[in-house]
Amino acid sequence: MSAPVSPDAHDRSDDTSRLPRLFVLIVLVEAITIAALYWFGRHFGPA
Amino acid sequence: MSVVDWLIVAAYLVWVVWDGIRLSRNTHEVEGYLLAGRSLPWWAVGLSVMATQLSAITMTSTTGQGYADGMRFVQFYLGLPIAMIILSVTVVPFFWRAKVYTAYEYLERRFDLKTRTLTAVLFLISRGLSCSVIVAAPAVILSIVLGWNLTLTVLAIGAPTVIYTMIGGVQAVTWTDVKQMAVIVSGIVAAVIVLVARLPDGIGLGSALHVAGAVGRTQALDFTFDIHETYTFWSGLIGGLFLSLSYFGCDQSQVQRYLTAKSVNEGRHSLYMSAFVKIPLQALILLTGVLMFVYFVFHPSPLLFNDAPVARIEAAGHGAEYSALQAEYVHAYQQRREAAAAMAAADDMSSRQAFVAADAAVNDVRTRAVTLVKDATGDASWTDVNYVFPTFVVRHMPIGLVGLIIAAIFAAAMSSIAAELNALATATVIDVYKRLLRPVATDAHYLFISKWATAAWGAFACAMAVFAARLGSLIEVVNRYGSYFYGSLLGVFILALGVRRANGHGAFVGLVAGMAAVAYVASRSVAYLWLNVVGAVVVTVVGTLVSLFTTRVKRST
Repeated sequence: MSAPVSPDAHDRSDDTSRLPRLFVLIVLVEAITIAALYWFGRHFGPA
Repeated sequence: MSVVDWLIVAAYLVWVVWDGIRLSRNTHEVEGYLLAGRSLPWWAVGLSVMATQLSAITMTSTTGQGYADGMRFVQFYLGLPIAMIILSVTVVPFFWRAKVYTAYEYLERRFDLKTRTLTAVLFLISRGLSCSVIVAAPAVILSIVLGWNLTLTVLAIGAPTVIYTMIGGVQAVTWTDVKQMAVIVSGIVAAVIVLVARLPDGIGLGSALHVAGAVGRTQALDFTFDIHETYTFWSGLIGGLFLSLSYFGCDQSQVQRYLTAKSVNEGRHSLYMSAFVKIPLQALILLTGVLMFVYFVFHPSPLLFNDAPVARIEAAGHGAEYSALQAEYVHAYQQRREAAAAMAAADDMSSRQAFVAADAAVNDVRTRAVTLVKDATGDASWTDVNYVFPTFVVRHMPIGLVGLIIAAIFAAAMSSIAAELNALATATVIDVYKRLLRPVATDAHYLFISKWATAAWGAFACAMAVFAARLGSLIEVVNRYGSYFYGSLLGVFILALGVRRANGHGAFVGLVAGMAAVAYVASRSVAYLWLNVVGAVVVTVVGTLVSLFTTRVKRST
């Protein structure tokens, strides 16, 4: 059995410092999209 | 179709082949041909990922779903953005740094040869058949709506794709995907503009959406928790998350896209594009279907959007019954149109109720007509929903835009087929030919085999497409087989990346157990999005237990 290939911490092309902010932005955009879809259904949907 | 539209479609087909070959660079060695020398920018890879996923079936079937069922299908994609986040910190850096050509190649390094071979062969069978469905589905629709010969339509879609994919490899696939994505989005936006512009005088977009909303077409989210209901908020968020993890993380047609990125970060960013854009894009495609519903409320629509089986109804001796339904439909349609106009003007409770009742009457006539078709053809799953968008395009769009949208449907089909062919050729050469049949040969030899593997899979897809087109139920079987496989394959990768003690025996037995469990659960009428959760969980649990047991047995002997 071999262990998983471990990420190389010294890879300069792998800048992970901005990832947390990007993840928050993705979740925020999805939350806004879901809210917009909910509004769309409520506003134009059956009374 | 007018001469202008024909010329637009013909010019598109010539241009896409010429452009695909022109932009092929570094394809004189295997890594350049299959992985573009790992040199592509994130935005090109991101657009290629989206173009691969957006097939012609998406354009015809999703707009059709919007027409018939409203916006609910958008829930299918709710898990996708979360999946992109998870994949960007797990499989993308692992695969990219492992310098593998295929996802299955990694499984041999982590487990053993039998796990790699089983997953690769499952991929080849599943994707080889689904590739033929991706060719067949739009070919059947276009041949009926446009009156084209089916075999020629299959060749018109398949031949140019095979040519540029075979000659140009993944470079050609990616750069044509970028432009095909532009053609697809332009076609959808053009359709939306025409649909809005052709609303009757005095009825604005808001009123039109209220008309659609009165019969549930604008209802996008359903928060009820029911595992038998196909599309709910929860099946989309949880089942869709597992499906997206599996599709983008374990399917070679997607993995190969981000392996071509020039760095790990560029690979990650290509997935973030889908995370941000996919749900709004699908919402726009579904909205096109909703607006088509409103369009056909105010403009004459046929009783059936695919009237090819009418001859069989008449041959079965039900011609008079069908004619009576047509007369009834014309009356019901007029009633609904007047009720919709009254509702758009007043929008009070009584006018809404009158419109809902009139719509139910139209649906009742249509349901009886569809039942006649099912009885006459013996096809219990027959539906004309996939024909609504092509019918609207050909009969109601202005000259020039018809050609643009038919080209967009071609573009959607070709971008998906090209990526599938490229991935099938890669898995065939790297996981089967090079690994099992001829481990030692020159790079030029593997390049030669890669090109002919692409051509062979293309020929197989086109031949199967002509065959599949005549067997409607086969398409359903292929789609169902894909959902059996996806969740289980994800389970193998969860074992590989997340369970340190997992071994080859555990992964192999877990995969077989997962597929058996999914087949059983599917027979209990559980909605298919949940099958991915079942497959992944069973493989992970069984694989972990078998790994622990076999490790102990080994130690004790």
